[in-house]
Amino acid sequence: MSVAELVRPFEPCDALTVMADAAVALDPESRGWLEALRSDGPGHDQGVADLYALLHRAARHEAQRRRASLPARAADDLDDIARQAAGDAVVVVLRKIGTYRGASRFTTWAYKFVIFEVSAALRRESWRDRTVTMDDPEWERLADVTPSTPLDRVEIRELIGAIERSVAADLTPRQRDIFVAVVVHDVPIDVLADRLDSTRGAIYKALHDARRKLRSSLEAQGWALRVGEGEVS
Amino acid sequence: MNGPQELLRRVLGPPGEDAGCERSIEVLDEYVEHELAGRPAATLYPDVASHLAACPDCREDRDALADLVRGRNLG
Repeated sequence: MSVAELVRPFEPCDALTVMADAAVALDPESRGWLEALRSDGPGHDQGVADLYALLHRAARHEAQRRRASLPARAADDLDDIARQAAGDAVVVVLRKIGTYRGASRFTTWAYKFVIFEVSAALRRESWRDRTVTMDDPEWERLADVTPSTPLDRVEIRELIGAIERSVAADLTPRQRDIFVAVVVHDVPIDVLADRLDSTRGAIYKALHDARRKLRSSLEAQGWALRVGEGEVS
Repeated sequence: MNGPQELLRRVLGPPGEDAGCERSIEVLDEYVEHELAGRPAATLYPDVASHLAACPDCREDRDALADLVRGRNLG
């Protein structure tokens, strides 16, 4: 069954009408995509095929871009990952097309969905055989920032001790696990979400709450983050 | 670069409102187009900018989307 057969034209939400109502001027290319994908004639199937081709190229491009950061065994799977990501993204684009507001070009909007699909797949692939460490934090990993002076080096050691104590004392077990995995061990949030049967948004929310508690705790110990300093590019 | 401040920022994320993953993903296409057009995306969407600084997955997706849009006519 083709992707075009899986998803038929949309019903109630007429994206072109929404655009007209909102007086948003679509560029001709974006309008062309919408007209094709909303068509209930042969233009629809061609539009879906074109969309798949576009998103497949995009997925392949992204997979190749990140090839160097992937384990060697993943190289053989990149084509399959790109095809799967493109197919899944086409389904998502067609399902969500009624929400397209024309605030960006259609292709930018559509690329967004294939990036989420292919990124998540590549992260999973990258971590497939790796253990996600949550309960055995290697705190010294935090010391890999670049101290500019000997005093900085001493302060970093003291700060890591304060962080370790605050994490143990102030966070819930779930917040602690998520904080250690993401911040100390650099586990991607998508991978953690998979392992914990959760979502990126839910895991990030727990991380955000953990950081808020840590901020208060560390400030009370004299470790305040100064706005505009320590920016990480 | 001040080492302790750099570490604090890494551990705590940036201060300020954080849009969260869902809201950031919702407007990521607009955000990236503003950035690539040289418009002040971080001023237009400060809560999204904070989120992108704090969330490694969303930041990586932003970078990937920007790379795609820059090379829109992929071979």
